Amino acid sequence: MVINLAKEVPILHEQNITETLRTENLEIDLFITAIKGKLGYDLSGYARASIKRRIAQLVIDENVTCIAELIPKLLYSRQCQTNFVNRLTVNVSELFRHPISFLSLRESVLPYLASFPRRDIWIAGCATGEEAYSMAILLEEVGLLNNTQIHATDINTDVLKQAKTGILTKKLTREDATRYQASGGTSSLSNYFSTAYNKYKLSQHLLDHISFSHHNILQDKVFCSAQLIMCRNVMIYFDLNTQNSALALFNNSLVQNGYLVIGEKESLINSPISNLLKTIDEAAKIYQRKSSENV
Amino acid sequence: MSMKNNINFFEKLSTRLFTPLVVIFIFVIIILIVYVPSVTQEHTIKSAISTAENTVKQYKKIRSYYTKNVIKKVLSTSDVTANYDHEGINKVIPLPATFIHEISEEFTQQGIIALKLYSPFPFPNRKNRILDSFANNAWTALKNNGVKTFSQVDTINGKEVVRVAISDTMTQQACVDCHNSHPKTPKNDWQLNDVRGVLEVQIPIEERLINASSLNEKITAIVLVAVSSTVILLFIMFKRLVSGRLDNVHDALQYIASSDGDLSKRLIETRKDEIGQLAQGYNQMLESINDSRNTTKAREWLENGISEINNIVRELQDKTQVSNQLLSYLVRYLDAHLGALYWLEESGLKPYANYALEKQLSKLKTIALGEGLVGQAALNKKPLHITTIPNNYFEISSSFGEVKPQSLIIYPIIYNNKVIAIIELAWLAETPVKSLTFLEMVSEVLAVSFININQNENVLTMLKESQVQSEELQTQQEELRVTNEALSVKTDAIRNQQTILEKTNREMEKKAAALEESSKYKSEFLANMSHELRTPLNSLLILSRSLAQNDDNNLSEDEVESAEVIQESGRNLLELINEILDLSKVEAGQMQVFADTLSVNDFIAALKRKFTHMAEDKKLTFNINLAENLPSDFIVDGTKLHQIITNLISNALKFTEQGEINLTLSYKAQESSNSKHEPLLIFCVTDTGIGIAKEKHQAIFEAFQQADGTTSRTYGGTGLGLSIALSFAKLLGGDITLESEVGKGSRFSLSLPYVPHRPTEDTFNGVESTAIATNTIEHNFVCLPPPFEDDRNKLEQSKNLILIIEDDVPFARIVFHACHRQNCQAIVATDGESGLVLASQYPVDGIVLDYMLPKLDGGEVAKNIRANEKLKHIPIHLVSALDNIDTMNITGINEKSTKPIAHQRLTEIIESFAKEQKNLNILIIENDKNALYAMNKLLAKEKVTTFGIDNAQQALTLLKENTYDAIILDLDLPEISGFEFLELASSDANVTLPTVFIYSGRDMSEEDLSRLSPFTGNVIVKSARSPERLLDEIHLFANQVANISDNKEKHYLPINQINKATDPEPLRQPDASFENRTILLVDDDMRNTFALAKVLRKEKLKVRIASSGQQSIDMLNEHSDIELILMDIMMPGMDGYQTMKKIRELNQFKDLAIIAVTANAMPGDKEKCLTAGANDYMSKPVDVGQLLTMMKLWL
Repeated sequence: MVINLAKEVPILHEQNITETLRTENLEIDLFITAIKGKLGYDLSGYARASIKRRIAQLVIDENVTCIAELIPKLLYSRQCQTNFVNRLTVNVSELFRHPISFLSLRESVLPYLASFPRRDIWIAGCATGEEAYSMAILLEEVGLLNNTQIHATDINTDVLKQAKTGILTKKLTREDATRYQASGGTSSLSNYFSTAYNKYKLSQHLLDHISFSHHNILQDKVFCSAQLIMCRNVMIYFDLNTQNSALALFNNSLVQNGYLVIGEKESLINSPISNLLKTIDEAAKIYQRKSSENV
Repeated sequence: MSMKNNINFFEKLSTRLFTPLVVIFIFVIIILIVYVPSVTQEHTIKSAISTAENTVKQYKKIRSYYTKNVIKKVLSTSDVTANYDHEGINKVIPLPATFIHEISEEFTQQGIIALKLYSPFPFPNRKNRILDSFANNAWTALKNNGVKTFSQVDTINGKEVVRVAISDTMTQQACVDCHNSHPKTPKNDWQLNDVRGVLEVQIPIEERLINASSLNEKITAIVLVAVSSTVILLFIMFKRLVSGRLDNVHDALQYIASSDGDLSKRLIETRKDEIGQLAQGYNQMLESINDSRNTTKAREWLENGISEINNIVRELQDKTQVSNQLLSYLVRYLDAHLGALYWLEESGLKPYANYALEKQLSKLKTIALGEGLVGQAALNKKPLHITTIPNNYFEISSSFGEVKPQSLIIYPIIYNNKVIAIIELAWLAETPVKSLTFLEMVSEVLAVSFININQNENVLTMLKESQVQSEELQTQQEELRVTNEALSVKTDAIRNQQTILEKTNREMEKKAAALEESSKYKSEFLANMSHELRTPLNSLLILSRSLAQNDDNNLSEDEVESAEVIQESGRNLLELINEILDLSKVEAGQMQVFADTLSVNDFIAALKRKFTHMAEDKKLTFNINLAENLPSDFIVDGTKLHQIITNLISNALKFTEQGEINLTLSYKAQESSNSKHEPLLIFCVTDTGIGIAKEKHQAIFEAFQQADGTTSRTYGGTGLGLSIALSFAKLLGGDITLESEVGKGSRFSLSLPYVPHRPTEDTFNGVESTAIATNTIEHNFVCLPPPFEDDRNKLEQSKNLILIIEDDVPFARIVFHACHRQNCQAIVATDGESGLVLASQYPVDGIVLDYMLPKLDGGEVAKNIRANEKLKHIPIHLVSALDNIDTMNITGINEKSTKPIAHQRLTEIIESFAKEQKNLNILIIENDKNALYAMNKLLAKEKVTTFGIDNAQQALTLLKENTYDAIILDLDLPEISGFEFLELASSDANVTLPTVFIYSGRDMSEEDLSRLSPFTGNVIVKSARSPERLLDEIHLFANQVANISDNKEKHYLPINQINKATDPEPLRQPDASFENRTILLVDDDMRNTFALAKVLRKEKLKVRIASSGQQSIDMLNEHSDIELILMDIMMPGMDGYQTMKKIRELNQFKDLAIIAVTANAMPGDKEKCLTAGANDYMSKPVDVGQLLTMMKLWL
């Protein structure tokens, strides 16, 4: 394995640095094309640096000597197909990530949403489900859970399976509780989980309001009209064009005066969507669809 | 014996055993001494008594024999008688009793046992026998036959006797008869077996007693001696046999204890008895303990060694360190004297450590396999034990000398049949066996650890490599992070910039507003000022003129000259004032530009008129030349042009003393396809005057600047002319350039954009050029005249005014007439700039905008309009022939249409502008007065007119009589509820239900929502922010109404899921094949179903709605008329796939047509739907036309 790394990291002493890089890039392109051709997932919109990293890790784990050797595996092994895509689209998530957003939602957005008789909330890129759980908890505390349906989607089938169970992948930590408090939590985080066999599971009442489905925001279309869409830390992996198309999808999926929440490190600056959205809270990354125009 | 101090006396076995014995012994002695005598006495007495009895028995026997055999026989012969007195008397024999008496007396006298006979009934001859107490007692005791013997010890004559009285009974009848019949008998009623007397025997016992007691003593003494000697003997024997030996054992044991486990002393025991066995056992135990100790020691030694070795190899990782430590330890531990350790590497057996070999170290080198003993051992993989050492071997040396070793071990460390290392050890003496054992035991451990060490080395090497690489990675990561940070900083910066920009923009807007204000003031000021200045000047000029003319002739020459000077000065002043005002106007942006048609000939004629004379005066030639390609006329602001040229020429005249002044007009056509280079008109004024120094070329164009400070004195002039000329030139879109050198004359070139004069159909001559636009601060737009006469001069307030910006004149004309037909007015511009100018000048209600325009295209125009505060509300409709207009991202326009445009469409467009102005009429049905008041207040600032009513019944009436654009409806109303109102209103033919907004505090159940779904999808729940939402919805609605959509739906649809085809065709006739067929819509989103249901119902389909998978199945079971299902895939709970599967499981629905509707666009999704049971599939957004076609297929 170490030897492999040595081969992949361009060593400064080598003369053909550019040659190596070029070949590597070619391999990556081929790999991505293979995925697209075989599975239909277009990962070319992901930022090159992050995809490169993940492919490198995949090379190590699959015990091959170069990226090109992944291609036959992809083409002929069912298991590898799902596995690769899942590995390349892994997301990390935690409860009440970036609590400022949740606090702002609680204070500024949810009261507005209370005026709708029914709410649909779409969590795009839910990973292992923590964001959807957090949203359910938030809704419960402001008393809006009952008439709300949370739709949690992700491209990765593995994490969806995990998320569906409602069981946390890690134990509840003090940091989780701190973030919960910082989000304006009024009771105690552990109240919403039941423990057994050293695992934490979200209470069924909350889980019932979340549906988990497979959805690819780059290729699939609008599937619901949502009052609130949260898509955080998914688009940082996309290049600019892909970001724009994802944002366009979100804009189309929002009802008029619906809200969009994006990730802490993300920005709408470079997107034409920013003209259609009014900034509600820049620090919390909350925007509202105010225009009546379609993109 | 010396060590038994710790046992106290009373605990000694001997004491314990023998003390009781002694005590018993003493006790026994005491008893003997005390008791025995009495016993003896008793015994003596008893034996005396027994003797007495025997004696008595004998005597009795004798007596009775005598009686029987003698007396009786004798007496039966009569002559003999028996009597007591018989002594010497013949024929008298003694009586039996007498017989006894006398015998016994004799015996008594002799000292032999005496017998007495007495009784209380003695014969008279015996009366002298005194019965003593004993006798009486005896008689008393014996007489009743109760006691046979009565005895007592008595002292008679100083001697102790035992007196034994025995009853003398008459056992024979002869006795009884005799006694009874005797004449001297005392008693004659004797019976048989009566007690006649007492037979007493006196037995002296004293002697006996003495004998007995001496015997006692003797016995006692013997016993005493015997017993005591026995005891002592026993004691001694005990001591010797038991106690002493036990002490030995004890000593031996204690010795072990005190000597800390010295097990060497054995118990010496020759005897084979129990203690001997104990001793033997003890000895054996010691032996075995010793043995096991030795074994343990040996094992411990081994184990210690091994564990120490383990420690060594575990703690250290460096091969050399380990080898050294290990070897030195081994050598010492195994008592060796020399040692060496080799590791097998690629090059052979490499020495890594040695012990005591420093001096001869040079001899140690890498050994190949098979080389020498070591190499051989490595090949054989077996240990070598050598006892005969060759001569040249290493010697063991210390400070005092050197000596050769006696024995060697070469031990290979092997694992899995591979040699890893070799240890060589040498001893001065024979190799201790334990060393070999140790090596054997330790070899495996060593092997494993050595392998580990080797591997660790490898790992370390690799680790180092990977560390290097990870460092590289880290650096890269660091760089990435830095880049990221930089990016995020940049983003922040950009955002900041944006904020700043916005702020700046806002400030600029404020400034612009302020500036406009100020420019308003400025123009007022200018107007005033010009008036104020000119008025006195006027009088001055007039009067000074009249003075100069001297009509009355009453002024002197001087006075007239003075008046002329005054006039001249006044004129100059006027000129100056004019120039200043001109300049100020230009600077204030107040200078108006007019577009006239200028005829070149007229122009130059005027110039000729003006300057020929002046030139002649100065003896200068003045020529005007015209280029050949010069057009005969063009559009320009003639006055200003004249002013510029005049200024240039007058300057030329002023500064030329001799020579000529030429004005050349030329035309420069478009140079290349680059449209930036427009056609130009060039006016060139050349002179042969003093010229202008290069440094001054810039300056002279500035206000009040002349070539040098003295110029005005020499040549006059205010210095304003050129600056005015330049500003005018710029105003007209041109420029002035200068070529000049001192002394070489000057050439001033004015270039202006050539605007051709376009002849039009309508008579256009003499159309006044009306001031069209003021040049605003931002733009210097020229507003060109319309291609044909439009309504700008005959505006009517009541009619809508439409601005047409279109360069295609025929089309513009069409639109123009269309407007008129719609009772609107219109103004026309053929380019963007003019359009903008018009828009800002006239109260335009709507703009029809072409895209392809000269200079500024439609997009730019729209942008400008939207950017302008006053104009941004004007609706713009883009009309273009371009077919990619739909895909272009043109912001700012409300709607677009493509040419050729249908007539109907045009009408609609114009109509839409009209609508914009109207306020929306909203009917509010709310019974809470406060809520009603609040809503009115909320909507007060909006473009709506509200009508409030508090009950549904009246509302219905209002609806019948009036038309409203929208209704805001509360659900909880008195009498008729909101729901009922809706149902009533929709079923009433006289009532058209407009867009409904439900605004209610009620907590909506699913049932409520489904009840509302046929009528509206806009439900607002009263909550903290609901007024805000209501406002938002109303705004959106108003926008929607203003927008043109193909279906004249007045209902507000969720436009993101149903594709709005901008289809200008009229609506299709509903398909007859759909009539009254029933389909089932399954979707959890009520708004979708509402919208789609509406569309489908228009096609005369009966639509049932289910909001969940389960509900759809229930509905299928309940209603048998469902012929087709539109199944949404993404639903919470049971999704579309599952629902379809379930439906297919039910037999009766196996063949029911199901069309799946999904947002997923992946290639596999269609297959997924079909596998789950769908007949077909439709992806969102749903194209209604396509859907209907598909449904027709499956129904």
